[in-house]
Amino acid sequence: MKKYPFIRLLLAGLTSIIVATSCTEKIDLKLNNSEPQLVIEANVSNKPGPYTVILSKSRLYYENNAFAGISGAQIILSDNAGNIDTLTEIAAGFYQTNFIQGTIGRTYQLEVSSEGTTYRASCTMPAAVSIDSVVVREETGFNGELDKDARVYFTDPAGIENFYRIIGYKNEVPSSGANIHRDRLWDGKQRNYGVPSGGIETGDTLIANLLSIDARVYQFFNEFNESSGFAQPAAPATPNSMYTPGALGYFSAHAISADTILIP
Amino acid sequence: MKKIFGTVVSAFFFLASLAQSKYTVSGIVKDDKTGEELIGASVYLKDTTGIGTVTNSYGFFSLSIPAGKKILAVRYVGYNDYTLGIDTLANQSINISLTPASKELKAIEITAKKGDDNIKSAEVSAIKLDIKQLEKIPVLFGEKDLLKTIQLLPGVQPAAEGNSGFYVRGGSNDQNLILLDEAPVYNASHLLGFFSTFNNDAIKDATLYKGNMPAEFGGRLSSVLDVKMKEGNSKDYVISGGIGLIASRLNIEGPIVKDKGSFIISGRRTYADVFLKLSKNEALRKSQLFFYDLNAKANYRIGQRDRIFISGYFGQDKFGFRDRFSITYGNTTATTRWNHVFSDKLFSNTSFIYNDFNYTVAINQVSIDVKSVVRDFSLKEDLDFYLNANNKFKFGFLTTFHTIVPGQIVSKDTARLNSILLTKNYGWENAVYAQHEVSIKNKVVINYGIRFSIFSQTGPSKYYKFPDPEVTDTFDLKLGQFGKTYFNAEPRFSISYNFFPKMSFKLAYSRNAQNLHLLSNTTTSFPTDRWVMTSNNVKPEISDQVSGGYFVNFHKDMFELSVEGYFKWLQNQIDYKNGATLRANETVENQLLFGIGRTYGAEFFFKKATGKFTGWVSYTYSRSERKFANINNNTWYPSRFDRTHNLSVVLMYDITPRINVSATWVYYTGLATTFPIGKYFLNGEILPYYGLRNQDRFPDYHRLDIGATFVLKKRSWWEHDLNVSVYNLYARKNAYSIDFTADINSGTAYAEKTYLFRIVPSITYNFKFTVPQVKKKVK
Repeated sequence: MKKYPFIRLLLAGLTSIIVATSCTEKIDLKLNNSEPQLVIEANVSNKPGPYTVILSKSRLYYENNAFAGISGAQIILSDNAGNIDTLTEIAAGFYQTNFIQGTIGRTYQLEVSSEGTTYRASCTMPAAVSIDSVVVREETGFNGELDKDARVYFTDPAGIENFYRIIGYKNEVPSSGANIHRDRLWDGKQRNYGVPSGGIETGDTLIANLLSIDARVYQFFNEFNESSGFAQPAAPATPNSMYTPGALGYFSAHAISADTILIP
Repeated sequence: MKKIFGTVVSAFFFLASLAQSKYTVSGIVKDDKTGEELIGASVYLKDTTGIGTVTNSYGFFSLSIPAGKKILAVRYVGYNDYTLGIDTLANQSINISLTPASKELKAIEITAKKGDDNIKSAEVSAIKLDIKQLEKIPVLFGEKDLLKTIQLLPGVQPAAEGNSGFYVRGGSNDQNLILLDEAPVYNASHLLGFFSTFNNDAIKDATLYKGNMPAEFGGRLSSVLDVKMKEGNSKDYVISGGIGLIASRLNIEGPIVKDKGSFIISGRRTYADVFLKLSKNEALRKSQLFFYDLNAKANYRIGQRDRIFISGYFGQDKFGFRDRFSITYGNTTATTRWNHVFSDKLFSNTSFIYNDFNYTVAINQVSIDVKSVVRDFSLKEDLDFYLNANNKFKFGFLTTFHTIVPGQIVSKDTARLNSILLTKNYGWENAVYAQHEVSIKNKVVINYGIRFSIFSQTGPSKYYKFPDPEVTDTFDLKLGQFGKTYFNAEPRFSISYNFFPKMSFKLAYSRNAQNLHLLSNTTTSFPTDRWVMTSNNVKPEISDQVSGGYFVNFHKDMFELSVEGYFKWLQNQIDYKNGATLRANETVENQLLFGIGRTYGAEFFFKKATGKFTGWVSYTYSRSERKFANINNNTWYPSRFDRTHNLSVVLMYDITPRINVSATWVYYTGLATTFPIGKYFLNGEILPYYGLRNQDRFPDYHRLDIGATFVLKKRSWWEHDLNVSVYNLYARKNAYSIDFTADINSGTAYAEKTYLFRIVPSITYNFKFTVPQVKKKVK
């Protein structure tokens, strides 16, 4: 869910009731073209490596989804403790670290040189917040049906700003989407959120990952949410780039707490 | 500044010295049947050209005439002409009652103005709305709506499908000042904008000024919509009402003391929630969805010189989704007015005004309430001074104390969630103005004036400073302490040159300043959008508008044609950073971007005002652009309020005096928006890639509505009619929103539009019952 889930829920509810008579229809709409843009998806965590950096390019909106990997780039990941690791390309567009180990509190620098341009970004890894428990419960949906819902419980450290991202791995398939939260309303309190999974059933294995993320990474995902969600944003925009010069994508150094459960 | 003031004052005296001493006739013009004062009725000398005036907002007039026997005439279209022989030997006061025109004539369109007022007055870019005509124009769900009808006029555009929000000459929705009996209405809509807060039964008169407002109005850049409530019938008790598909109305009016005072109470409530109860879906059945509003007004005349008015509006919307969450919001306004005639040349009105807009969002699942209030207290004084038949002055002041409580998050279960109590903000706004209208040889009318506005942020409150993007600093103001104060001089000028009796050229310039700003980063306006005041970070918005026009009436005022052009420069316009957080954000001012704007356009209006067949064609060509340092590389781009072409055709035909049919057709260019120009794969998702802002357009919009009114019975004491209408007759699926989907599995990508309405038929039954008076002997 997004930043103010209740307000968004409310707006969505209001809109949906008012426009109960509304319908949708596919339309032919000409869109402007854009030059392919470089996309850099890079993650470092406190779990053992190797860590992966993925390079690809954007496509025109109505084209198919053949997002080809970008080969031949030179990628260097370094930290403020003096470790410098040059990544190895293991498949087209997929690059892996060789030895560097993510450590809480260190600042990481990423340098991607591709097609004559060098892109840089940096990120500091926050402290991990441990998971208290993962609980599966049955919940009645808006329309009265029973759904299984896994919720991750954790206690927010008091007195500091924390930013979280939750990723669920259902039978080893990671969830998509941002799923970010901040502790503005519940600083220092126990909190629980649904583990994104796309629906769980008895027998599934679910791994809940609670990521402590950097404020800048939170901002990136939040910009994405704010400019793409419902309630019709007036000016949808691509999030401000974390890279200099600008490239699409993000660089996140985060600490992970994980818990695995078998859905009863 | 002293210099400007000095110049204005000396100009007043210079023009005043041109006057000769004459006698003054003053008084009130009323409707003979209901006792309602008539606004804008012409009062003139029949045998002497160039001596005439029009009644003010309270039906008051004052006319200087030479001594001797004269014939005084009063004209107001829809009423019989009135003449009176007078022999002026001293100043005198007379009250005039006009009788409504006979039945045959009544079938003719009743226009709330003298036939050629549009030509002669100096007002440019002003539209006086015809409340009675409004009842014939077909609208969505059959709910007659002032705010939707003005969207059919040149220079005014709807904010969205079926929405009562509107954009005037390329300005945003919050740049419109909507006044109900002088009280500002901050959110003039019900049900997310599908209905306006104005119940047509309670409205007497409405005028829209599209930027070139006289100096007496100020505070918003784009327009002032001045709505006046009815006073109530001062002769008979009348009960009227209507039953519609969505809402029912009841209106009661009558004398408090015959011919001395009257009252009116109008109420309205929707019953969509009744239908929800019938739903098979439990979620819908347990939901709430309704609004109601109440208008009430009373006035009492104390002697010949004084009159007291008390008027109020209360409206509320309630929406609840099961027991999970609900939103309640509404406006309250209250106005107390005192009219005093100091002398036959000086008319005064003093008003004390209160208005409040608030909402509460209750989220029961997590025991949270979000509460917000925008509240003003104002004192206003207006003086009309009628120096002589050719010189009229108006001056006064307005002082307003603003309070804004931004969406406070109040947690009822603090063990789980903390409250976020945002700082309340206070502001003190003052304005003084003076204007002079002079008519020269009945050929030229000049209206010039100036308004000085002063806005100060005040305590007790905490304010923020953002010396650079990484630093946030604060300062406190105690009660009575002032922070940043802004002073604006707003000159206003308009001239009308009547080079032929029925033809005129007009030219106007105005500057306006605005100190309250609505933050909304969605295309549809929600009650939860946030109002902020001018502060140390947010400067007053300023506009300068130049308008010119050519106006002609022909065939005995049966046809009116006007062409107007305008250019408007905007300063300190507000937009938002990417991903801005506007709600529940203490440092919201840090999320804003400031830039400039320009809008320009041409407006064509052709109207057939009288006859069995009436109506108009309105076409507007307009552009509205903005320029911000951080948006689109500091180049001009189309604003969210930019519609290039806008065409409205309104036709009304009286088949018989009892059957009337009408049709409206609208066409407009889709609003500027931003569509994706590419897509990319990140984090297991396909994401849209956006380029420059507002480079795309929604598809063009067009729609035909038809309506018919059948008068079932019409007697002096009882009448009722049936109104049938069809919205969107040819069922065009106009896009309300457009969503893009790139499916990750199938690899297909497509655009999908959401449309709100196909054909919407509706039916409304209206009635009016006048309580027979005992002495009348009704058979």
